[in-house]
Amino acid sequence: MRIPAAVMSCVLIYGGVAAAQGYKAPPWVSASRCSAKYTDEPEKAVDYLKDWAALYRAFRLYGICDDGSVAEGFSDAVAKLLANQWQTLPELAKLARSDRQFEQFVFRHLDETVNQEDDLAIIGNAQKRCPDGLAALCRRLVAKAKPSN
Amino acid sequence: MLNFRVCLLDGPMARPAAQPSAPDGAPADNASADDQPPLVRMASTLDYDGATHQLTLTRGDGTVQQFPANNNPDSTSGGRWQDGTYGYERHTTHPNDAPDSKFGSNGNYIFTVPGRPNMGVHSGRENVNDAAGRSGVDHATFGCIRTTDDGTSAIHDAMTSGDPITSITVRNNR
Repeated sequence: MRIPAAVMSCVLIYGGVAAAQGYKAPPWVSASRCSAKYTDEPEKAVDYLKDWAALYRAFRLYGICDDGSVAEGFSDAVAKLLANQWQTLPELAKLARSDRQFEQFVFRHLDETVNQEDDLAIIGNAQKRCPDGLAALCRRLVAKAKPSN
Repeated sequence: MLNFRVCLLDGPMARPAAQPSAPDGAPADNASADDQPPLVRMASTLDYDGATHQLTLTRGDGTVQQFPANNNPDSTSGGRWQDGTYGYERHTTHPNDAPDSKFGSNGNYIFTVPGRPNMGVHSGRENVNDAAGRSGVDHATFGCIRTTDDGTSAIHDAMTSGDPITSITVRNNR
């Protein structure tokens, strides 16, 4: 039997806002502004965060979209910079001093999505190769990167 | 509060297949009704069950495929997707897409989750432990549902084979 050639309609029932109850997004995140301003650009950008300056630019531009896949990309970038480019830690320290929200952003992204190998490298770097004058930052990195956190 | 969105499938899936044309461009009228293909082809559906950790793809022809999956978000993120149905939005790929990369070999299939930008279904981290020692589909995300490369490959096939996925339904995701 042939199905009539009519326009087919469907109804999608949304279950409301899908954020965890009691969750408060960081102040730089705005889902509505992100959706209005961007589509693919923030997720594409996370593939090219090869130094702290690039990460800082991305934070200022795309921080409003810091959730889901974009957040996963930010976390990976933070971890790779701390694990593999430890000698650039003073650049992070300088940016963090000038923009406390960026410092919060970096620490937020030392999260459970970070690869264990990177986590262990960060802890080793902070414990064994902490630059002069950055002991407080190194202690905070060790505390945040511990797998139990 | 529930939100309703009505969408109209007014594309190739909802229309008759093109009929052979006469040389002058007029439709041929020599085919009987029994020879003609079905007028409507259903879209594929995608379901995620948070209790069984299974992603189920049901193709337009009724074929069902199941894949391991998990919605295992970082504890500081906005959490898991609430139960509900979410419309398909877009697909992204990355130059380094591979089994152990952030998003796996076939990119990220993003759905519109209210209040949560960039919520997708992707694979990746097949042999890479997260900070808590979990790998594969259990490797933590920042809200996305992680499945296997086979799962995203099946989604890709549905998307490019004429019975695309238009939404995902999430159940038992506590």
